[in-house]
Formats: sequence, structure tokens, C-alpha cells
Amino acid sequence: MTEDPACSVLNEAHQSELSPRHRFREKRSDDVEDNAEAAARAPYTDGWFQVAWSKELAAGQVRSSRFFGRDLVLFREEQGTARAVDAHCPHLGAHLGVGGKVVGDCIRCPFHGFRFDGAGSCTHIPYADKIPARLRLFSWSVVERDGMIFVWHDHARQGPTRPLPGIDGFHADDWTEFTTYEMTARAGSLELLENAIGSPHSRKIQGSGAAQFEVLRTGPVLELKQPMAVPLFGVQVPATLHAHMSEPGFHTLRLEDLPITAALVVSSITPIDEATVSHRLSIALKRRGTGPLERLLFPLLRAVMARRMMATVQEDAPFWENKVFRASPGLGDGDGPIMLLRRWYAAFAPEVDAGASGAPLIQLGRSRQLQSNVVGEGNG
Amino acid sequence: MMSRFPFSSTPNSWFHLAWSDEVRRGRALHVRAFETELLVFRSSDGTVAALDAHCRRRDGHRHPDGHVIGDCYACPVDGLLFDGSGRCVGASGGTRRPVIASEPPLRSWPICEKNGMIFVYHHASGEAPGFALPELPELSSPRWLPVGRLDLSFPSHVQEVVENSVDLGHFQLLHNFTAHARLSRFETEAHTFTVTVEAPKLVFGFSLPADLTISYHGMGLAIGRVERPFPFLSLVTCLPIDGRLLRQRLTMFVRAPRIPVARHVMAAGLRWHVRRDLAEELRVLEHKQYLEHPVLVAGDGPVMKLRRWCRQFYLPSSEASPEASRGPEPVKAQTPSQGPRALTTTVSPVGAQIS
Repeated sequence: MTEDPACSVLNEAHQSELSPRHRFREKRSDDVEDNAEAAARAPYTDGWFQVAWSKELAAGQVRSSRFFGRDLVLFREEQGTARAVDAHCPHLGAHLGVGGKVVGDCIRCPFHGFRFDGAGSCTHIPYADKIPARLRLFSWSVVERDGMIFVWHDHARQGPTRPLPGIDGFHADDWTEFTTYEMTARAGSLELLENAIGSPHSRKIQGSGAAQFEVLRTGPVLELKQPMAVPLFGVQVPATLHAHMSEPGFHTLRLEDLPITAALVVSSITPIDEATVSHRLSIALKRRGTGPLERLLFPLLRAVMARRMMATVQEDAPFWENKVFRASPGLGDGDGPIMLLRRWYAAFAPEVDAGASGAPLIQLGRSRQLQSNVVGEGNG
Repeated sequence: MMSRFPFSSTPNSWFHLAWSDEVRRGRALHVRAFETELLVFRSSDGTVAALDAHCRRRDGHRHPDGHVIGDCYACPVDGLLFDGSGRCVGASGGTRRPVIASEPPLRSWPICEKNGMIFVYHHASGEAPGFALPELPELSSPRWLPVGRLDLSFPSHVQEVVENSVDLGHFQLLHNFTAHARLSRFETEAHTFTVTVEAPKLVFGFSLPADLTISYHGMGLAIGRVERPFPFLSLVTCLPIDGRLLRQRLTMFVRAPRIPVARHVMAAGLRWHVRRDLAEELRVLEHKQYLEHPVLVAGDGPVMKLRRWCRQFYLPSSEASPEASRGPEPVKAQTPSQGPRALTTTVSPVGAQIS
């Protein structure tokens, strides 16, 4: 492939195994691609995003988070409903997550003891009877399902325009519980997504040969199928990877045709701010009764798989943390369906006034050929 | 990153730089304040002076703690002697006279030593102090016993702490008041305001009638007086360290009978109580967001009136350029002996150090 300066930098980085946090390249401000890059990273897409696992939020617990460049507070009512509200009290600005307490179905501000319910209305002021109508906390739409807590995010803060889609091919009875793993990465959502779905680099590390993608579905739901090999206990086990994407914030990967069982990975990517994302993996195996095999082997298998996936993500970190986003990369055969993915992803980008933001929205799928520096290895 | 507060980190006021006994005769002390560093020293005759801690020459080195010779501070790096006005008056080594004459003066800050504390006056455009601090009669009385000091640093702003004193709603949750505080007095007069709140308070497990009168003198000094449940006096001072951190210090006294053991037990109990009283509040202050338009309710206290009082301590926003707030020129009235060159120095090395 043609030598691109940026690409060679990336390769060097890989060879020297720089730590993910190591910044070795200043991105040029006059880079033509910076606008596209900025648009690809922010503004955030509209949709459902995972903000926590159910097990992280016990009844009566309050949890401070930061997502979409905003501070928010998750809390679980004593009756069990999970809620998400903006972090700062509209009264005098205290952070509800620092010393805030759940009282019944409300969260109590640590500063003056004002109580707000899950819908964001103030229900109690310790020293005043009249509650001003303006005293409202923004409440995020929350759906809790399959051990995960999702919130709806959109720019206008209008509320969900579509229901939370179920996890493709998942019924809690048929699968084991999830083994979970979380990491924070300095990258854009799309970069991580491209890495998770389409990069030959990750498959190479995972030990697969040539990439052959089969597109099962396009449109609002994107479904891809790809043969691959999973290294388990030092043996390359052939399998089929089935990727299902219907939301920009999370996707499902199913490893089928494994000898004993099948694996399911819910991979969610939630922006923390414009430069960082929270990446969560939930891994489950298909149940096969309740025999000793399952009781002994499955937890081990899940742990091995989780470790394997974590390692892959960590190894990839220097790549997506330092790469420059190209609107139209020159893609080789082994690059996976990157353009397909980008076209699908762009449909979730909100309508943004280009004049106001100063950055035009990314134009996807143009035929202009640019040097690829997405991941160079697959071409070579 | 956007600033947390819509006003300058350092209002124009007297600020507590150090306790008097921290700067003994012939000693110098560094204090981080106002996004720079000050050097406080006490000459052999007992007068205190505060100078910029960084040399004005191009290398801008930080003057180490060093020592004091007579009424001058002697920098151990270059051997130069600076008097209280910041002028270089000599050298302790064999430095030649022309070097001494051409040494640019250090910025000298207006100082006031009262009530066992050293205060420094900060003004964004370098004006002379606009008011004086009071002398407390209690401190010269043998009936008042010092019970301790607290020295805390946390991310906040002076105004947030000032605002808290009239915020009636927060006493119940954060200071163990057992009922909503009643405002029995609120007076603002020029650079001072006085507020009195009354409510029963939980003290060592008992709900006792309590009162608290807070008088602010500028934004840097608050005198808190408690009559019930027992006579207690606390000087609460805030010093802006930089754009983020605030240093809050409490100097506490209690009026106690002169019974040797009992008064010390009481002092220890009070220290414990005050520390616990502050812990939760500091956490709230550290994470709270300053709302320019809070949604206030009946019973909140005169928060907006207090914000209007605070405005006198800031320059109108058009005047407050970042340059001026960072490295203002020496105060003319305080340093009459400075040559004209010192006053025309445009780039202060202190400013260069921080940027």
C-alpha cells in the first residue's frame, strides 16, 4: 500500500507498543479532515445508550456519572425503579450525587433537602409550602432491561422517538448471566465501533485469516456475518461472528457454530464527552441444561472470553486513540464493511445547523479516494 | 475549559495570608495566593512585609525562604537585599553597586496585621485599600481561650462561602440545626454586612437554642459570634489560591471559666464539633455549580441581596482584563520610593511564570 505519513506513525506505534494514553502525534488544526473528524466525534448521536449495569445500582443507591458532556445522577427508588436526572439541583446548584440520598421514590439534595422525583418534579421543600413550577430537574428517559440500564439521549432533549430495541436473539432463560467488563477510552464512538465490527486488525490479532463479510441486512438495522477463528486454550476454534446493529450506542455480537455453546456479547459505547467514551462488554453463553459441565466449564469459558476480548480492545487502543478520522478512506478488501457501517451510523446523527456549529456534518460514502490510515495492516 | 464562576477568582478585599506566629522575627514564609506566590517576612523590628516571591529579572527565579537581615529580606540565590517596599537596597555578598541599582523592585503588597493574623490587600487594578479591618476586643481579654485552628483547601470560590452565611435553608441539613433557621438581622453597610440566624441546634446530642452572628469585612474576613449555647468566637477567612482552589482558615476562641482541665476538654470537644460541622458542607461546596439564576423559594434568605453586596468587590467586567487580575502593577501609595522605571514595567515576571 502507499505510504502515508500518518499510517507509518501508526505502524511505528504498534511496533513500539505504546501505552494507550501515550500521545505521540499532535493533530494539525489545518487538517482538512479535522472538520469531518470533529463531526464524527461530536455532536453525539441520538439514541439509547447504556449508562450502567443493574447490579451497579442497588435500591436506594445514588451514582454520579458523566455522559454526553453532562453530569448526571442515577438513582434507584426504594421500590426498585432506576432513574436518571441531571446532577445539579436547580435551586442553588448542589451536586445531587455528592451526599444526595434516596427517600422513597425521590432523591434528596444534600444542600437544602429539596426532594425531586424520577420525573424531575420537586415534591418537597423542608421549609416552604409553595413549590415554584420552574423548580424542575431534567429527567432522562430510562429503560432497564436484561441487567443493563439505558438512557435516551437526543440534542433537543425531546425524549425517545423509538423504543429500546431488544437484544437480538436473547432470551434471559436461554443464556447464562453476563460477565461484564468496562473501560474508558480516548476515542470517538464511531472509531470504537469500526474497530469492534470491521477492522481486519482486530481479527488478525484474534487469529483469523482472510475476511469475508456477508451482509444479511441493511437499512436501520445492519446485520453482518463473518467466519472467524477464536483462540481458546491455545486452539483455534472456527466460529461464525454475527453482528447485529440497530442502535448507535450498542450492538450485539454472536459467536455461533462454536463446539459446545454459543456466545453473545452486548458491546455498548457511550460517549462521556467529546473526546472520551465508556465501553462496556456484557458476555453470556448459551445454556445447555444444568449439568456439571455447565456449572464448572461455563464460568471459566466466560472468564477466558472476557479476558480475550479485553486484551483485544486494549491492544487496539493505541490505534483508535491516535488515528485521524478520514471521511473517505481508501479501503482494501480486508478492511471490512467500514463504509457500510459509516453510512448506517450517519443516519443517527442529529440535524445540526452547520452554520452554528462551524463544522459541516460528515458526508459519508463519497467516492473521493484518500489515503487510508484507518488501519493499514489488512491491505498489506 | 470554561470557568466555574462568572466572576474573577479574586475579589478586591483584605485576605488572610498567614497567622502572625507563623512569621517570626527574621523569618520569611511563602504563601500561594491570587494565582501567584507571595513572600511574607518580618524584619527584626517586627514589621511585616509581603513581596512577590519571584524575581522580576528575566530568569524570574523564585526567592527561597531565605533569611532576613535587619529590615531586609536577603535572597540566598543572588545575595540581594530587598526592603519592605520591594526595593533592592544592597547585597550581602560582593555584588557591585550598579547591579544593585539596576535591580528591578519586587512588587510590594499592602499589609495589615490584626487579631494575630496577617492580611494582604488585593485589588485587581492595584488600587490602595478601600477599607480597614476591625480590632477584636475579645482577643485581648483573658477570658477568651483559643481553642484551635483549622486550615482547609478545597475547590471553590470566596463568594460561595460568603453566600452560605445568609443561606438559611442549609443549616438544618449541613449544620445540625433541628429547625429552619430564623433570620433575625441582616444589615449591609458599605464593605460590611452582618447577619444573625437563630434556631435550635444539635450539640453533642442535645437540641439547644443557638444563635450565630456573622460579620463580614470585605469578602476575606468573617467574624462569627455565638452567644448560645455557649460563647464562641470564630474568625473565618478565605484566601483564593488560584482560579480553582480556595483556602479557608478558622481561628476559634471560646469564653470559658479558668478551670485548667475543664477548659481544655471543652476546647477539644469544640474542635471535633466544628470539624464535623464543616465536613459535609465542604463536599457540597466543592461539587456545586454556581447558578446565576437560582430558583429561590420563600425562606431561602437574602441570597440575591448578598450577591448585589458582593458586586462592589469586583471590577466592572470591561475593566477586569486577565492581565490586570493576574499581575497588577505595584501600588503607588505603598511604594513611594520606587523609580519611574519600575512603574512602567509592562510584563511582570510573575505573570510570565504562571502563564
